[in-house]
Parts: sequence; C-alpha cells; structure tokens
Amino acid sequence: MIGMETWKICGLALVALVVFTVVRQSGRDFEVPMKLTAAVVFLGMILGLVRPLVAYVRQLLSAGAVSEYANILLTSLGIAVLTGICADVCRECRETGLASYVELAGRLELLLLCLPLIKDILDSVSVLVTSA
Amino acid sequence: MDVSLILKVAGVGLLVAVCAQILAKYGRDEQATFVGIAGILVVLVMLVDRIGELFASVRDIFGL
Repeated sequence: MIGMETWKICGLALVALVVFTVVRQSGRDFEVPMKLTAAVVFLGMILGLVRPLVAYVRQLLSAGAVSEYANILLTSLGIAVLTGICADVCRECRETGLASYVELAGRLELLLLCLPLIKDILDSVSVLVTSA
Repeated sequence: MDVSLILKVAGVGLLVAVCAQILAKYGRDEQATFVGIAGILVVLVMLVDRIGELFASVRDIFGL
C-alpha cells in the first residue's frame, strides 16, 4: 500500500534516534556499528521502493530503439547509488578519505561505462563532417 | 530487515558498555578493552550478511 512505507521509515527513524542517544551515552565505541546498522536497515527499506520504479523505467525504455542506451543509463545509476551509499556511510563515520576513494572509483567506472557512447557521438560527428 | 536489527545492535552495545564499566571499576582495564572489541566483532558478524544482501539487491535492481 502506497504511503505505508513512509510511515514505517519515519517511525523507524524516531526509534533509531532514541536508541542511538541511549547507546551513545554509555560508550562511544558503538557509534560506527550503530550508524552502519541504521544505514543498512534504512537503505534496505528504500531499495524496496526503488525496485518497482526501476522495473517500470526499464519496461518503458526496453521497447524503443534506445534500449541499449537505457541499459547503460540504469547501470550508471546503480553505480552512482552504490558509491553514494558507501561514501555517505564513510563520511558519517568521519572517514572522508575513504569516502573520496569510493567516489573516485565510482567516477572512473562511470567514465569507462560512457566510453562507447562517446565513440558513437564521435562517429556520427565524423559522418556529418565527411558528408558536408 | 527491520527495527529488530537496530534493537539487537543497541542491546549488544548496552551490554558491552555495562560489562566494560564493571570490569574497569574492578581494575581490569585490559579485559574491558577486549570485551569492547568482542562486542564490535559480534555486531559486525551480524551486519555482514545484511550488507551483502543490500549490495546484492542494488546489483539486482540496477543490473550491474
């Protein structure tokens, strides 16, 4: 049912807030594991929302002539989401160096993924130039 | 994946904090440190499967 997931996430955030505050007062060792747990639980619930959305977009784009490009688009979206999640968790635990490594890896892989598209563009430009 | 995981981790955290405080009060600081490390390892063991599930579902959804 639409809307129920938002209620669950909001309630869970408030429960997690109280639990974090109690645990933080008793010792600082458990800050990183608690943040990691919260990230895993919340992102698991959010991905449940993303799944039908991406399936719908994939279905829409699979029919046309752009299906090859749609695959590249969705794959790059996945890489961006994955590296974004990791980098956010690292940054929240005050490890900005790790976060920037993860983001750099994601950017480089996106660039690698885009190389065939750049080649396509250059090919069509060269066709235009030679025909003119 | 539910609120139970957060509560489990919080329970382990509170238990470890209490044990560490008791051990430190009786002058066994080394054992208190070991208890803290053991607690973090227990939580990580609980989390590793979930992190794997999360990454697997991202790969599944976006077709990586």
